[in-house]
Amino acid sequence: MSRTLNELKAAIMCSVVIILIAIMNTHGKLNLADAIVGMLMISLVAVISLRIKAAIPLQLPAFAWASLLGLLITTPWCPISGVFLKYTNVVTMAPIGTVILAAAGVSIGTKLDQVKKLSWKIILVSLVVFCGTFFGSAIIAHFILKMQGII
Amino acid sequence: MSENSININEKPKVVDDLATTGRWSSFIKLFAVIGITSGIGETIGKVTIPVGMGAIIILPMVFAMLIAVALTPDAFGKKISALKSLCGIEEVNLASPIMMIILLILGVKLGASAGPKLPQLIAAGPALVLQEFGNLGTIFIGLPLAMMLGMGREGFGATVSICREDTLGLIGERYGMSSPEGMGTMGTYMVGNLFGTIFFGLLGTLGLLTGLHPYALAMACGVGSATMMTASSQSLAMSVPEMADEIFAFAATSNTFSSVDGLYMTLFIGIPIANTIYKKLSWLTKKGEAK
Repeated sequence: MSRTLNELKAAIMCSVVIILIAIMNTHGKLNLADAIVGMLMISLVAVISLRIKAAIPLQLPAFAWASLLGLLITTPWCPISGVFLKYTNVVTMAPIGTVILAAAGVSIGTKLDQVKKLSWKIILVSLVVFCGTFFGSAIIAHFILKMQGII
Repeated sequence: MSENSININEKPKVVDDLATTGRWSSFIKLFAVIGITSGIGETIGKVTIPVGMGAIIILPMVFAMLIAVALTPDAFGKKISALKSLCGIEEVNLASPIMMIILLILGVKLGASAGPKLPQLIAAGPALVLQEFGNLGTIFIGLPLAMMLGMGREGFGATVSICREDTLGLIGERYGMSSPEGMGTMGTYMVGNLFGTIFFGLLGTLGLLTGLHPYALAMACGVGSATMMTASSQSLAMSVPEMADEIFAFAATSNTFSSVDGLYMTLFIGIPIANTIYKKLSWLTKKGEAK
């Protein structure tokens, strides 16, 4: 119980920072009341996903549960999807991304030597990753379209 | 100073990495640092540097991260001791679990952006469904290369998928964001943020040289983020203007697919395959290190 409470406290503190950054991101045009309701809803789902992970002995990370719950709540077949989307769409992904990377920056703070070791290699490897994904996908699509006689 | 010593003494007893008891000062300092650096990032805003046909885009998050790194004990904290009392080891250690919570918030958002699109995906054809497996292509090409370059577990993290936000969440939770795996994923993510648009813009055009059909390439345009999809499908459509409508439709649907299934693809197929290949090829890294 205390663990759940701490998670909720942390999620709400994160939400406060996210909302502040969202206000800056939208140049003050954010609907504050709706944003607060939306972030509270999201925080609640995030904490529920942590609890599900703790309760169900599958090897599924809480992140997957969070995303799955988000997906299930917002499918057109879910009765609360409209309400949930109305409030949670007020804060976009951009400010959340900024806050995550700021936290990431702090968290690698004691391991800068390891980051330096990556250097140019990571750029080369990343570009190969993009190529591999792009052409892997294109090649499969090409053969299936051919088999279907579409191309 | 006395506060710090209390925190250090208490630490071994704390099992809960988010416990606030006795650590409120660390929480407040950390959130102040995150808030201020994010705020500076947003104030600088998005910077676009045009390069040829594309552009290098620097998002506010990149500035926020660089400034946050600069404030840590390993960077300017070494020289300016006042910084250490704002952002010390305690705060750095707390940043990891806090980041996990923010990633969960992002996870809910990612799911919520996918849910409304589910019906249209069910109606899509087999080529669009199966090409998603092509996204695993990176593991077979990228991972061996990374290991030949002497990258260890960083290479695993960097090549397990195209490393968008969903992978960041998965790898961050399983291995920790400041682990070698986490740094690899973060590396590919950052390179994608900076150069993704320009590189995918190139792929859209150069892909035609391979002889693959524009429809197939259009589906490939959707593998990454929305901005990558926009850049690559626009340059592809510019090269084959008579198919522009189909290209945009295929690219957008494929992108939607990736945003829905990417997480599960990485979790259930990508991570296990990459781990297997990593074990099989581990002799490569040893050779790389010897050089």
